Amino acid sequence: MTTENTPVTPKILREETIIDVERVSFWYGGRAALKDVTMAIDRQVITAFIGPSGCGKTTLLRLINRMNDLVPQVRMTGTIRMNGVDIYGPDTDVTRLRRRVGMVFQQPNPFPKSIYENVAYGPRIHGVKSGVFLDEIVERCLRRAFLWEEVQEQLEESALGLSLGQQQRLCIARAIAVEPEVLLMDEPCSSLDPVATSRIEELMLDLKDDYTIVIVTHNMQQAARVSEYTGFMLKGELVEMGVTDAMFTTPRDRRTEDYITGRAG
Amino acid sequence: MTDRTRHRRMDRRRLLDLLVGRLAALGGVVLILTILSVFAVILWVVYPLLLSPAEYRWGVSGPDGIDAGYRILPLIFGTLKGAVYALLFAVPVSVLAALYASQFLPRAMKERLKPAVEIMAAVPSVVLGFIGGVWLAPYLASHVFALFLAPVFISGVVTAVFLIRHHAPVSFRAFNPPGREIWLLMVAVLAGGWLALECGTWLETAWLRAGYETWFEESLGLTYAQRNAIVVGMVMGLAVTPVIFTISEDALSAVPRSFLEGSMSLGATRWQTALRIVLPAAGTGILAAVLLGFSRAIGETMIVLFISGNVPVMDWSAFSGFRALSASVALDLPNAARDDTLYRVLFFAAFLLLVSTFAINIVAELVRRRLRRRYA
Amino acid sequence: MGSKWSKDDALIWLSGGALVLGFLMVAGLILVIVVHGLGRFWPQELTRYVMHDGRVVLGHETSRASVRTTGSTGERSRAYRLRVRTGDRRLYPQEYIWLEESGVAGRDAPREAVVVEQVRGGDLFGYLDSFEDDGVVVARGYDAVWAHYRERYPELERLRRQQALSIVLTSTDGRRHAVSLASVQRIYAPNTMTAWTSVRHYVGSAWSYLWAPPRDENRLGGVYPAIFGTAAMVILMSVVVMPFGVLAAFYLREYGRPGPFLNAVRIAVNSLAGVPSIVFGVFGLGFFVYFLGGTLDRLFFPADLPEPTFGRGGILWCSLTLALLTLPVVIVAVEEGLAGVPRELREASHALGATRFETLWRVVVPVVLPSILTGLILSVARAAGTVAPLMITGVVAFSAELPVDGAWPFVHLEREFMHLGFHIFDTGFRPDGGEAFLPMSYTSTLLLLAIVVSLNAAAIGLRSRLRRRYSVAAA
Ligand SMILES: Nc1ncnc2c1ncn2[C@@H]1O[C@H](COP(=O)(O)OP(=O)(O)OP(=O)(O)O)[C@@H](O)[C@H]1O
Ligand SMILES: [Mg+2]
Repeated sequence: MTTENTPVTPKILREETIIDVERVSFWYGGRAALKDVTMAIDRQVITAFIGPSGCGKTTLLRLINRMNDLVPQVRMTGTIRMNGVDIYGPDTDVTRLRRRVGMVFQQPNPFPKSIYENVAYGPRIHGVKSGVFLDEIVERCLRRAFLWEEVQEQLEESALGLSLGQQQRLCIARAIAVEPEVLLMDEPCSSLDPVATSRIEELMLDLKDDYTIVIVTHNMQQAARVSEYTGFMLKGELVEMGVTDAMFTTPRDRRTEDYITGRAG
Repeated sequence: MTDRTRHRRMDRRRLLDLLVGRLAALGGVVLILTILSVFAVILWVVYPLLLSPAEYRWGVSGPDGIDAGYRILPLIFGTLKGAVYALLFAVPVSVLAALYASQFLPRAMKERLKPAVEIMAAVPSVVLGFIGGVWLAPYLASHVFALFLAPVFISGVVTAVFLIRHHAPVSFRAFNPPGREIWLLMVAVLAGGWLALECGTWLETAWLRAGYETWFEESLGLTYAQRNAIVVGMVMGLAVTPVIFTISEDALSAVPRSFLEGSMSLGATRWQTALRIVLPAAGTGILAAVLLGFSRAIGETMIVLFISGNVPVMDWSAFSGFRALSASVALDLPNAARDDTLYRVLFFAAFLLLVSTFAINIVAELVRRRLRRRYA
Repeated sequence: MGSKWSKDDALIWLSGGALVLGFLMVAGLILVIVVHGLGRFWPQELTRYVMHDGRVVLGHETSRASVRTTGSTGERSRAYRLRVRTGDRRLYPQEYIWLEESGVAGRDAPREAVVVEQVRGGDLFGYLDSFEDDGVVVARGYDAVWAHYRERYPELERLRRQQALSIVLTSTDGRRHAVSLASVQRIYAPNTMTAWTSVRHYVGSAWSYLWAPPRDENRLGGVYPAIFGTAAMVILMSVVVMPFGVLAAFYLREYGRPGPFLNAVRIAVNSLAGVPSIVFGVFGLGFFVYFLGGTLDRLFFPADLPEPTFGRGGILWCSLTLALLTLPVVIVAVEEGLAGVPRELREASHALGATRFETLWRVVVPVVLPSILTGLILSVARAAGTVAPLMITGVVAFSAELPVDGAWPFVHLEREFMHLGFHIFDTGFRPDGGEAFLPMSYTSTLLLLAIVVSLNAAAIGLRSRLRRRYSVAAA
């Protein structure tokens, strides 16, 4: 184990912390994907994670809403708490947790249903039956995702007919339709062109007033543009985490500096 | 090697290549001709019948040379009845099983399941028909109550075992660890079946004065034929289950993981995801599977021959038998004189089977191809 | 996980129940076949039932049925009746009788009770009375007769021809019945048998089941002609279907120009696989038997007309019909094999200047050979289990002649033949009096099932080994 010489100091639970991760390690089969990660994520700000491919960003994100429960033969140690409650504890209902912690994936993955049904899906499974109410939710979320204008005429058409950028915004609308507290976004712009990307960034900035957003990105400019806090990961370790501006101007760790300045692959 | 011999060898090689190419093409042509000739030959025999008045075919009145009772409409009815009862049994069982196998069964188990299902599909229909007609039909005839209790009891016991397992202390998991649920399920289903048998027998003794046959007659106005549609449904259902299961399972497994994750990330349970996302996404594939099952059921001969009783009655009652097109062909064609009207009528029966199954198979194949392209 | 559970988890569990249910039902039916089929050769103890009314019955119980009765005071109760096999009708009026269980005063298993298996006719249950030579008693009493029989047993075949020797049995009601040694297949006393002699008896019976011709309208004896007929037909079919199927598959994958036409052909082949077997039988009758056969008769056997030679059902026509039926099986298997041949392999060969045929012959064929074998096994399994089309193209319940024998021209393609699957139908589907045939059909069902399942298992094993090899090669 690479705890190295610096003993990890658990963060003091602050008022603004919504999620705190304490000494989490994670293995796929026998292979370690996360090593002793400790950090905290604050309420209603955007936190970004950067790092080279394969360093464990997605893994970390998926641990926060327990999507990794679906993967066979994995092992985790450490604790992750949301609002102070252990989310891997015996009293946690996974589906309730996922409802509170939404996720947007790297590849847009709308269901093969109509646009309307995509957004209405979440509220429906959580028990909303009234048509009027659903209509209202669908419109609100699509507006929120800046998609309403483009699709209001074709709500009953298949979501698979939308462009990739539209699909990704639909996925965001779908995610916020269940009114989560936290929105996890795993490289949401990786398959999009610059125009669509900037639309999503705008959207994120707009959403952060109501949601806590955690974003994984390969694009350092994007992290710099949208996030308040940034974490840098390398080979399963969280090397450094701090205020975004400070991190990009005066990184504390050599490895961060190398990565930011493009000296390490 | 001189230039000339090299040339000659080259020519021989090219000739051989050409020859084999032609041979393969010939194989292809013969293949196509064969398929066409199946249609042509049967049509050739049926053709004169098609020219004669329609009554002959549908058998509203019996023409000369045909036993007055030989009418094709009851046979079509019987074929459909058998297929419907088979599907009533097979569709719920196989689609649910496919859903379970594709979404909830551990991978290692699934790998072991597949060859078993393949073997199940290979059991000859004469074997199923024999055991259904000779053993199952009389057995069920003396356990009618158990037959009705079984669905309730089996699902009841399975649910009960589920609850026990859920509330049992953690040490229970050493006995039946996650991933090995299927063994416990087996015990539960067996226990449910056994309980249904016991209770059925007890009920019959305690409640009925005479045998159930009389009770059926008196209370329900039904006659219970030992070889009836329920038994056919069960046995033929078992015969088409592997077909429907395999194709549905393929379709369900082909649903991309990203749909699953999208749904789960919204807080849907695994069952909600399976039911609302996976099942609709694989809907056309399952439709193709059911169509193929239906086509298999209409053409099935030995099972209906053994179990349906081969009586040309036309009612939908689950407790009466029927007579199917396929079984009639098998039973009567050996006794039909060549080019006789009966001979032609039976060819017409075969023609109906040929056209309907061929069409259904084409539709199912096209559906499957489209599906494969979509998720490829 | 926790102590919480939701309706959803229960539903998942129930859907698992559906999987298990389908599985257990098939397994249950197969188990019934196995138990009945295997149990048949075990020597069954002969029981003597002494009834309250003084009647004495010798036989063995085949089943026990419950009957509801309503007593005189209206109370309901359950009584049982025994189905007892009393042996061949030559000794007792009925082979199977019902006995009220309440009417049985006592039962025992007399050691002297014997079973006489007859060459023609069923088994006789009775007591040994005497051994007679031309009406003269040579031995009397169980032990003496038994000893005499055992002494003579080795030369039974020869003695059969001497009509004079006979064994006299007494029935339970004291009647005497002489059985000529000529018609004795075997005599045994099941109630005196030890485990070891029972096993020997079992193996002997199973052996003669496999290798002896049928007796008494397929009710007894063996199924050798049916096994032989099935095998001969399947071999004949393979000879036709394999080259044709392989060629067709090569056309579809290698030589045909990919396009809508080829696609249509492929769809047609797949749909052909879904056409019911009985339809192929009808085609076979119309085309092979009446058209081809009729033409052959007119050309080569005009002297025999109107008695048809090839113009009626026969093994050749059955084989051709099944060849058509299994054609898609072969094509699909070989095509799968061809699809699995790595493209680089072909390209490497072409790059070396090989022609298409050379590439095919030296590179592709060796790789797909196991797939061809798989196709062969699967088509054989399918053909062995298919009965319906044969019923109208030339299979018979009983035939004294084999399709291959020592008489010129040795292979008789026009002959009708016996088939294991049809044997099951013939013995299992009897409107009345079928009970006596059931032991036979259970055994034949088990045999057919074993053949088909092991063939399929072989194909599955072969294919999974193939797939593993490809995946290793691809990795
Ligand atoms: N389902 C899985 N099974 C086994 N190993 C996995 C699985 N998912 C990820 N890994 C491994 O875990 C490590 C971290 O993967 P992760 O997807 O978290 O990286 P990432 O930082 O998101 O990379 P990228 O930027 O390419 O998305 C990698 O080495 C990867 O190979
Ligand atoms: Mg990632």
